[in-house]
Amino acid sequence: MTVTEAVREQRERDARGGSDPDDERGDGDDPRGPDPSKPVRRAFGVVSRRPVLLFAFALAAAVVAVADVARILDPVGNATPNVVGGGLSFSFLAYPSGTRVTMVTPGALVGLQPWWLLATVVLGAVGPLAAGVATTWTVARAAKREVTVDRVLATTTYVAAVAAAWHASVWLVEAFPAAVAPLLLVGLWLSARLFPAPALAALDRSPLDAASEAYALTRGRAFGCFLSVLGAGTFGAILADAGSVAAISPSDPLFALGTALSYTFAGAIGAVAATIYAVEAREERDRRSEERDRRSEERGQWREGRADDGKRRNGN
Amino acid sequence: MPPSPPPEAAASSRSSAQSRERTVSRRALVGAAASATAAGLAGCLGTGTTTDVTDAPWPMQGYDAGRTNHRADANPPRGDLAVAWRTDLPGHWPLPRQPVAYDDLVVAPNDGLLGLGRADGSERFALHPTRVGLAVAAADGYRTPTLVAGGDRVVLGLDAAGGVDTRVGERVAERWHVGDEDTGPFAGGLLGGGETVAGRTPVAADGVVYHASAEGAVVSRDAASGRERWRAADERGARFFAVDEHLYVAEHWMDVGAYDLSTGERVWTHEGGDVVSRHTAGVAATDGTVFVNDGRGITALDATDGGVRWRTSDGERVDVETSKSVPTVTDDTVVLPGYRAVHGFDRETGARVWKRALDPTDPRHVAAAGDLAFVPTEGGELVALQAATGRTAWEFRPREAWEVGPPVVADGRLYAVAGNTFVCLEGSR
Repeated sequence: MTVTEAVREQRERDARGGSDPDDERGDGDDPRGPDPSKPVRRAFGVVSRRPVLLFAFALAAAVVAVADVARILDPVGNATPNVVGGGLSFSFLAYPSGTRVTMVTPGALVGLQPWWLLATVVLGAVGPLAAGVATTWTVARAAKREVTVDRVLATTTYVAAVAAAWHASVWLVEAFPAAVAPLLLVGLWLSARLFPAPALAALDRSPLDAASEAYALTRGRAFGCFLSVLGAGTFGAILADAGSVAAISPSDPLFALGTALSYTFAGAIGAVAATIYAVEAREERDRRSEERDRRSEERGQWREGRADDGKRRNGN
Repeated sequence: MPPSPPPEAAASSRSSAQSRERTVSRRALVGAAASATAAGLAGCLGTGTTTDVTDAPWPMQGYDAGRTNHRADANPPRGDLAVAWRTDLPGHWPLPRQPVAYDDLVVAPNDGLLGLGRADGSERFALHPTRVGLAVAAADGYRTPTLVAGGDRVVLGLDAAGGVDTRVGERVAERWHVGDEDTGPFAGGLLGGGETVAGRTPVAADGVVYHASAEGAVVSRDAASGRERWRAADERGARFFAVDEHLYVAEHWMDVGAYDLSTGERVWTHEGGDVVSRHTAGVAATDGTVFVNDGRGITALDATDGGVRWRTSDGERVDVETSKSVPTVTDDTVVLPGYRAVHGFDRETGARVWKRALDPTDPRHVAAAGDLAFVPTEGGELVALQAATGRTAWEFRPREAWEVGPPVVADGRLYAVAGNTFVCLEGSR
């Protein structure tokens, strides 16, 4: 069962249940965006029934792990988790930016020889590239769409933009530690409002249009989307921390293992959840639009009927 | 930003102060964004220094990787002492720690790291974090060396040239960062327990830095990237480090352990002569001999297998209060600061050569250059002794300073923290 089929089935169930016409009327006029409920929870169900959806992010995790090892072994300064050996790591992960164990800070670039600068940039691009391709494939499989070069480019561009914003935020906080609180709030808010954007980019939108449509589809539903972000994030954090707790040092392979697990599962769950939200929200939006059109038409016909009745009465 | 996992679970004092208190203008703020982003790239193309630190006049606290604290080829002032320049240090209670000197800089660990031009004391850079342990290390892949700066629970790798000034906010200089901050609700023992001195005493050799973890383990780390190369599993409260054939680590219980430089495997252990757990040994190594303050006075060990070459007489143990005193190894004499006394032992035989009734400051480290050894005293003086005889060459009491830190010698001058100032001394040679 694809996500689209699941949505149709849900609609049919709703229709059979016979909803209150007043509610329908109210829903059609609801200023809030549509409300596809619990996308993360349902994404778990979809992925458990179709584990093939994990494939792309598993492959991406492997590619990113290789890039991580290369970054760990190169002489360029590395921002790695702080506490190991029975503690919690304080690394940050951002889906779908392709962020991984290693991360370069501006200070690590100061005084760097040009060759290593180039190598750092190239290795840094591996994460967003892998995440972009994996997101496109997973969304396409979940929604039974084709994977095209245009879709891959659009999604990867979006992912790269998220990664750039993420790195810029981290660098900004490093230069201005006081900026951490406002940036965190803005970041969480945007995470919620742009929740379905990668799926929209992978389906049929340009990166900018995807962000714009995602913003519209989550209007009035930011808290629900935030809970979805929190759910997927907590799941990814648990997986990433599972390895780091046992790791002896930040260079320990267990760190890479934890991150790869997180990347594979949280990435796939996140992509499927975004797809569910995007597809359902669009269906809901279209249904409401049709409903508004139908009611408008009915009102028009009713008014016309009243006018005809009046004419008839006046004529009589 | 779709699903983003949350955080689971880095000239004068007046001119210095003025530069640190720049007014943040709107133009500066706008420019900061661009300069912060481009800082790294600009730094890549900037005029760098060499990563070769072998020619540095005093590249780390303790002078060299063997932590001998002696620069043999230096020509220190021998008399007619005068202050060449003086710079006020920030903070109310500057730490009397030994600075380091490389390129044309001298860097003082203090309330932040202050990089000063050695010629005139002009401020070159000021980095915010308060770190007390310093070592400059070669950094492959970089045009400038890494300045390793450690505190109680944190060790940083910084651009030794001071990084790039973004005009607003902190300088961009941090290459890597390991450990927790030294301040805050979890600092000082909640995680590590007891005394944590992770980064206070780093040494660097061949692009690798050795330091203690917050839990007391020995850590070997690539100086360029910060990558951990190995970590010794047996955590015995590592405190001081010296590199020669192996890595020699002074530990609690006055023990000294030798570790393979490549693998971190423990090669041999020298058991200390003191049973007081909180006491810590001191170690220095050079030319195949390890000089250990092990609670008995000084013991000279074979660097390869730890075999005892000579040992000071048993009576010295009573005479020398030894915890945390690191031997200074000069050409002919091993100098050991103790409680209200400084001792000189023959480097070849261990026989006592001289003893002076001085009261060295804690931590009891004596720096030496040429034929002079410099003893900072609790009385606020810096006393220069003839290392071979223990006779006083000169005494210096800085104006309005209550304490002097261990000095370094470069360009025939002497540089040291003195109270709340940093002084450069010159004299006849």
